[in-house]
Amino acid sequence: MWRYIIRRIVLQGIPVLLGFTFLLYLIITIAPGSPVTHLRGVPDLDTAVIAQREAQLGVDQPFLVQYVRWLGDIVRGDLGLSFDSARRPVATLIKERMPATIILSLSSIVLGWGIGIPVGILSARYQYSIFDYVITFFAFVGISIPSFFFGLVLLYVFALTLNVLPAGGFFMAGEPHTFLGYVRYLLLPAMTLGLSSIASVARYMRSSLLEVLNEDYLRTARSKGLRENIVIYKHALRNALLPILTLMGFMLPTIFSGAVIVENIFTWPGLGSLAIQALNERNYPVIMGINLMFAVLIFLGSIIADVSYAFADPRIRYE
Amino acid sequence: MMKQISQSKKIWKRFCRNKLAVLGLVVLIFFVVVSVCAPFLTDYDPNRSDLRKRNQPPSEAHLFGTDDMGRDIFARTLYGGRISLSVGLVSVGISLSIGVVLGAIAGFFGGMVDTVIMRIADVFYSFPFMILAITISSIFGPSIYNTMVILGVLSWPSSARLLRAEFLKLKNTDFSLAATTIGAGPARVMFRHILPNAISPLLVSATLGVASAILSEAGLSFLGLGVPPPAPSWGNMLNRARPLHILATMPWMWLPPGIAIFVIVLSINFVGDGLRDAFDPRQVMD
Repeated sequence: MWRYIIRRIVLQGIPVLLGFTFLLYLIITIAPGSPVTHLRGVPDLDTAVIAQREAQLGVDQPFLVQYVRWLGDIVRGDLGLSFDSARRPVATLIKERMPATIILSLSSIVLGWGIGIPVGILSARYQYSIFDYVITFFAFVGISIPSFFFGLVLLYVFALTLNVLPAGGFFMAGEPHTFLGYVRYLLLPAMTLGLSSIASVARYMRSSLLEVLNEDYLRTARSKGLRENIVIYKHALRNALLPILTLMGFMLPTIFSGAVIVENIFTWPGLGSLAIQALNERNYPVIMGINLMFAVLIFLGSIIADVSYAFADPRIRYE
Repeated sequence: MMKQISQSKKIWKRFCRNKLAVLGLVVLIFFVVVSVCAPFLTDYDPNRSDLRKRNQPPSEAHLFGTDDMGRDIFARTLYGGRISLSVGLVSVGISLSIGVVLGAIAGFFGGMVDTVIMRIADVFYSFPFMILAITISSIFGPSIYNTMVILGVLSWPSSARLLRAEFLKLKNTDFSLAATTIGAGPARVMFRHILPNAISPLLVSATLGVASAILSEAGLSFLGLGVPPPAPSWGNMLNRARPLHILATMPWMWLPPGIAIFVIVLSINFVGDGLRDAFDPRQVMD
């Protein structure tokens, strides 16, 4: 197992992450304007000074040299300094914002799997019933409704009209961090982000279970006289749940993408709102750091999904 | 030729059995017609603001009311449909042209070429689409054309993967081997003989791709990094309606564009799902 994980990281993860950093660096480098552009407008400023500044920042070097140097810094954990006036290290900024994004994403994953799986099971169990049709329809609604619109509707109903939940943010200054407080602030953003996961997990669960229900070993189970509930919940379900595990790895990028928008609607203090703020300020080191952070998180998520799949299914041997 | 007609008729018949898909198609056609005919359906210029008539609730003169700059929301919703649909179609066109060529090459030639192309696809696949899209958009400046290109270029890997799988399956079939034997070059075998046989899964994924491109465009514009104002797009209309006082007291500003995105994406998804079932040869025709 360990050998598989290590091989997966070395052979697949590192090339993909390297490719990603290269692409990212290329995009940022070909961006119009350089870190010294603003100096060109300053009167009485000698071109020699500009050249000196360029040399200081290393932007006079060829692209590949710059890239390798930047990569070296990153490997050592140095993501550079933010461009804003405080000049704080990007790594610190990201560390501050990361927990909020992780909490939000995790709770929407819990919602997605916690609601999606039972709903999908029941939908398959009672295939072609009214319940099944209703669920299938709502699953379509769930994957089609844009998160920013659904978020605004939730805001309108629960925060602005009924006034039962906060309209955004995450704990006022001085407010005690109680469990109930977490739930109150998390509920709307997590629902907004989780809706599409609920819908797609339910759809996958339904079709996965229906597929398993056609297998020979279920006919055997039925023909030896087991009750339908035992056949489904014990024999079929275990096998039908396996493909759902891999879904986790696939859905992580979607969830993080959604988090950017959802954090923005609910002014949630995570990486997503930091990204928008940095983009508005053209704060490239921060933007690069956030892109990188998300790529690493997604990569880790896909490894966890693969490994748990291998653990759960004894038929899989990764030697 | 006769055979082909009966085949597409069969598919059409199977499609029509799926009521939601038919409903989706009808709604989709309605949206296309309404946005194409926008100038005939409203006299208002979507970009003209009338400062004496700001924040007006729906009335006979302004069916959906006006926004905070006194622009007619009905007109903006209609014209916004043009932008959403064209961004959706063009970006899927871009992603298909890249994905089809690269996927076909990867699947047909295999080996090193395949490995390199698919690793590049992995790179694109394994990071959050939205973050990279907003990064690129803000660097090159938000515009409708940049939005089309960004969405197209970032989403080619899914059609490439799909087509690669089809090509792997089809390249050793008798008909493609026969084509090679009688002297057809690789390009001819790939695009004249194999590609037509892979068209149905591609069509399904393109349909669903339009839905997700419309969602992404709206998402980008909602964040202010897609179609820039004053051009009306459903996403940037929602963005404009975000201040809490507008949200709370003037729902006519955000309900029409929001519902429009939702309904059009829902109907495209229904159509895509119906197509998938209709193309599925395992579905028996009674």
